[in-house]
Amino acid sequence: MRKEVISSYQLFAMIVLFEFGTALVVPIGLESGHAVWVSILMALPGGIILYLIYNYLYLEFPTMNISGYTQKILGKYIGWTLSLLYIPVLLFNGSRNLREAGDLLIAASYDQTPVFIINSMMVIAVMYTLYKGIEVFARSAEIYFFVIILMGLICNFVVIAAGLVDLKNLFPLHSKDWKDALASAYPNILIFPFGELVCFTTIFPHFNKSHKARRAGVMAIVLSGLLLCFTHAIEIAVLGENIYSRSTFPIFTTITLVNLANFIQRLDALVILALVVGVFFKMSIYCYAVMSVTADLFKVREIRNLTLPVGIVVLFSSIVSAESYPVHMDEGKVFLKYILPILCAVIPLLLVIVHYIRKKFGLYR
Amino acid sequence: MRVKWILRSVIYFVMLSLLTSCWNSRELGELGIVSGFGIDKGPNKDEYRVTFQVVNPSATATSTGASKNHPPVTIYSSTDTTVFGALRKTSKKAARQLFFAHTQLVVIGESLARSGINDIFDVFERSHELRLNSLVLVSRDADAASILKVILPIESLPAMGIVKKNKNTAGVWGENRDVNIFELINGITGESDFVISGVRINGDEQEGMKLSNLDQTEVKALVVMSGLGVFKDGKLVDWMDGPKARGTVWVQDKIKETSINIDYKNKKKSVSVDINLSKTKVKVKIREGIPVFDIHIKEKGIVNETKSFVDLSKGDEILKLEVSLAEQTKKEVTQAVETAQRMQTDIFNFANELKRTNPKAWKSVEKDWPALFAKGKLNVHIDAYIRSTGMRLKPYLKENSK
Amino acid sequence: MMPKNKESGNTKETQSPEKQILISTNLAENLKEISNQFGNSTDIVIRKFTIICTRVQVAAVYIDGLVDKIKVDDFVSHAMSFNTHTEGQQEVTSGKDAFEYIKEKALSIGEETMIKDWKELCGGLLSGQTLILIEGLGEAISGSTSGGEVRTVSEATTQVSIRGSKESFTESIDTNISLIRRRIKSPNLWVETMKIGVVTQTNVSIMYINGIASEKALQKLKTQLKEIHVDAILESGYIEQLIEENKFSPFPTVFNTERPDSVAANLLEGRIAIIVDGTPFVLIAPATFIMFFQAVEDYYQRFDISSLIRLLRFLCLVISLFGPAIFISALNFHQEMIPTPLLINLASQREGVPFPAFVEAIIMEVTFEIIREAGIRLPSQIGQTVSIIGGLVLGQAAVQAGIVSPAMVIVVSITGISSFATPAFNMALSIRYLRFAIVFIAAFMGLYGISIVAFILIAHMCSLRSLGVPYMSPLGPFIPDSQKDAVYRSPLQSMRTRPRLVSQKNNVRMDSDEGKRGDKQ
Repeated sequence: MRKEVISSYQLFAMIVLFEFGTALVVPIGLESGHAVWVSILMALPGGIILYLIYNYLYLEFPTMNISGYTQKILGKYIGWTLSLLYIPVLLFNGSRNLREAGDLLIAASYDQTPVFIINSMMVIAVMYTLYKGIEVFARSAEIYFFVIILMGLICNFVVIAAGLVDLKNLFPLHSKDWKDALASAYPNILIFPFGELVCFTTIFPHFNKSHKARRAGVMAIVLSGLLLCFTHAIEIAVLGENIYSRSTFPIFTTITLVNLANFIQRLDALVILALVVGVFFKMSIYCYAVMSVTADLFKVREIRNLTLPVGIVVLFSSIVSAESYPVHMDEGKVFLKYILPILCAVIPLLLVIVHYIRKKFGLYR
Repeated sequence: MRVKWILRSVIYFVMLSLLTSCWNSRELGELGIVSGFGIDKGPNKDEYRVTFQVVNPSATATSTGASKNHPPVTIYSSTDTTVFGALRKTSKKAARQLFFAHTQLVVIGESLARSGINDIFDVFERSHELRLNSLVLVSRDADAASILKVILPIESLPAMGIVKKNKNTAGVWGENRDVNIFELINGITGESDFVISGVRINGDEQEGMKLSNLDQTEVKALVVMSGLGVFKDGKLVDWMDGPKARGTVWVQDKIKETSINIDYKNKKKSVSVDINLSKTKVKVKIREGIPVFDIHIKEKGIVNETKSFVDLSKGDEILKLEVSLAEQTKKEVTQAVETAQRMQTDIFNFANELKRTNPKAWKSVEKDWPALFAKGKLNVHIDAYIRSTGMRLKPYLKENSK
Repeated sequence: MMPKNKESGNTKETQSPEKQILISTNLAENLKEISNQFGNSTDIVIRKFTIICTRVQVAAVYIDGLVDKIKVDDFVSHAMSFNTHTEGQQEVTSGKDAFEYIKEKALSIGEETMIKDWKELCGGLLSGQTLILIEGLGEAISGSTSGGEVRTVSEATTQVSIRGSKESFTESIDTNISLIRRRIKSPNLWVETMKIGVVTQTNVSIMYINGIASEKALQKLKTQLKEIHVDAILESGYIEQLIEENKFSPFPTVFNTERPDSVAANLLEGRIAIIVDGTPFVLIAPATFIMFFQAVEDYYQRFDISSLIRLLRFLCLVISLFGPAIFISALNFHQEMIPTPLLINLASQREGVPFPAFVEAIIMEVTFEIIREAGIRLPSQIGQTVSIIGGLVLGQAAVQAGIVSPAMVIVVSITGISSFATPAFNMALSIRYLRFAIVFIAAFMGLYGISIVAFILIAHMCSLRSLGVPYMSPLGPFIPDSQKDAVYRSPLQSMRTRPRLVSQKNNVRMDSDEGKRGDKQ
């Protein structure tokens, strides 16, 4: 098999789609009230720094994924054990995304369809794409990048054209709002969605022009951060803080309010499509990250053979992980607060420090 | 190779399981499209009587071979302690599953409105089928059910006709508001009170239900929009009509277009000005413990009719008219605010505005806002402009003609 | 030398092509062998005569119908012309001498060759050559006299254009090659010919511009063509199916055209043309998905017009692929999406229609396919009748009878018409059949099902390659330079580069400094 390569455009498209994933649809950073858009902007520099950390590690070890250089830096035994942590966490996070998509679909339209069917269809699409390889996946990301940008433009255009936006809901920002915004930016929004980019450490080794990874990635993060900020600002401007904070999927409620010329109304389907596209890519990247780490740790030669087990585990854990959506959200809060920061920020930072020290003192053999 | 085989078999299995049922698939023929519904007080305490106006597709004017012998809609009603319960209970009476995604209109019965409506809108928010942008009206001197029963001329769907009527009058006359459920929920959750347009039946209600109502040029029963219902703490307290209603809408900055008759010299209300652009800015301050409401209205209009001689070719005369226009507007606005103050209902979003701009000050007055609101001082400043005088400058009337 | 194994000689083909079987020196024996080989076929013409002055027995052999009679007469009389004019100069007695003389005489004109091998002789006969066999000689003179009835160059019938060349390919490979050569007057236009098909021995030529076409693709194509072992190549479709990398894909990965200008344009983009004898359809590879939605006319019209038309075609692609599926999912799953008056209208239309929307759609789609298929096979006069019966009578009657709703008829016909807006017929067919699968999934899962199918479809399309070139390029992988001629077409002046990935080298079409055309034009 020849080595699969991805280009900087593909990396860019994948990062944007990954960031949009679920963050576009679910309310994020609820603590900050109507200043959530400010907190997204505040978290953006942190997100870029995190990305630069991942990118630094990649440039130091251009052929390895995260488990590879963890073992190299921290030594075989500690590194192996620590890398093992990534598998269940990434799997669980992937399944959470699936769960969110399934729940929105059920809440919005498919209330009589079993969640198993909805989730398994998504998993089949993910498995098929990953089975075709990361290169094929990256190419379809490029195509869907345009699709999602187009959908975003349509959605924003109709919402604005329908005259629903009331900027009074966004301003003014009092000092308390700034504090709240900062509190929800770090660590919540930093980790979700920016910290989740840790998955890309498994995709970097396929990148063909290593020096371009930094630029493409930072640009993608900035673009997706700004678009997320814009979308959430519009949602709050339309719904007001009260409804925004109470709704499970604010963007969905926003779109249902649209009524243009009594003809363009109820564009719910567009939102559902946007979510499905986002979740598809986010989940695929999670699954790929899991596959890549597993293949590295357990010396699986053909990474594609892991598609089926990973897909099935994600499918079932998405169904059994929580009995209802509120429970799911609660789990998410705990997960976001205690577990993800360790994997997304602490371990990579540790790796950078240890690597730096070992390099400086020539401790590598 | 084996992985591929397993993958395939899993795909086939899921595809097969797909075939077993259609879950959410619903044929149009199985759906009773609800165009509007009304909520009244039920016979027992805590019960609602929910009335549905269901479209009869084969009798609507849109269908090619529309049979004119059937009414375009059918009415069902059921009683239950929750709205959703009543929705589902109706299945006993209706052959088709009621489908609410196209509900245009929600009418609230006056008696229910008087006893409080805050608790009935949860189902609208929670359900994915009901839409948040349906219009809400309060029936006046009638129950919601009878409003929905009246068949209207020209419009084949009565609910749609009422929605259009409300939109029409809110657009060009301005005494009514286009309040949808979404805005209402924001009103309930906010700090201020709110208003809902009223709707009444002119004429014989019993005749209005019959198809024969349409067999004459002047129908025997007509649904007309009538005033604004003022709600305090979710309960209807009073109605506002005429200039007061328009003044209210004006303060809320919802005037799109309206026509106002102003005085000219000694002739009362002799010049009709069409206001086609109006912008209201409200500032709320607390001065010495008492709120001050600064209302700044900028309006632009066209002279559409004069009953007496006005030399509109002269700039001075236009200025006079502008002053008169500003006075007239100010009168309506002041009247509206004063009426609301008398009722101690802040229907102009003053509280929300204060909370938004100055949360600290709001904290200090939050507790006895209604009383403070009633004491509040009103500063109205109007900038009125007349932009055009239509196709003629001077009227054909002679200057000294009586 | 006589062939020792006469019996096996008249079977279809000897198993060991390496072993040469030489022509005998005995004329009678040779002629008998020819008759045997061809099973005494009646179209084998053997004309025996004697050169008077030398008394040498000579025979001319050719296959009737494959040769041009005038050319045969020319050739034979020319070859024998010493008979009258040079009689006195030389005494020619033996066959050998006569042969030497004829050779000298005949070869000066060209197109004549010597044949010693028996197999070559048969091949020559079958490709329309006339053979002169001389008593006492183990060699035959072959003259190229191929001709006979071929169709003349006529107007394109399947890929019609308003503007542009009216020529189209014919069934003759030589004509086809010359049609392309006339458009690209460059010595770098190289043609390689091979025979494929164990029985049919069909001439297959690959044509490319040396220096523009990618070596890798060329090498790949050549190996693929060499690997073909079938008995017959009757149309270029055989080659197409045999060289496609993904046999089970619904999408064609080889482009075909009957327009020489289209081939020329594609050659200039660095693609390779495969011309098969006996068919006017020339294959072009590597093909990308976008190619199937581009018509040659796009380059002849102004860029703004043709860009808009291209966008229209992509809209048609979406309609023909997803049209009925979206309609069904809106009708059965997402009724809230339909504006209220329209929904009530649709509901009133569907009152009394006995079938579920899905069944109704399938009935109409299948009917449409039947009418289309029947219309193709019928002579054009009757074809019209079928379309009138199908379109007017069936459609109108079905609506009036209340079997289908008028809206469904509209949706099905707009999808049908949209699918014909795709310039490439094979792509249109694939899309049309994929549509059924999508309608099916839409009836079970609504828009969600459609979007899942779309994921799988796009992933599948991204995984396809045509001669090593990604099928979805330049969209995925995204190549900014090639966007100028993908979804839209930018002005010719700005299309300075050839599509990357297709042609890796010699990428520049135009000299950017002076704006003059490059040497390949």
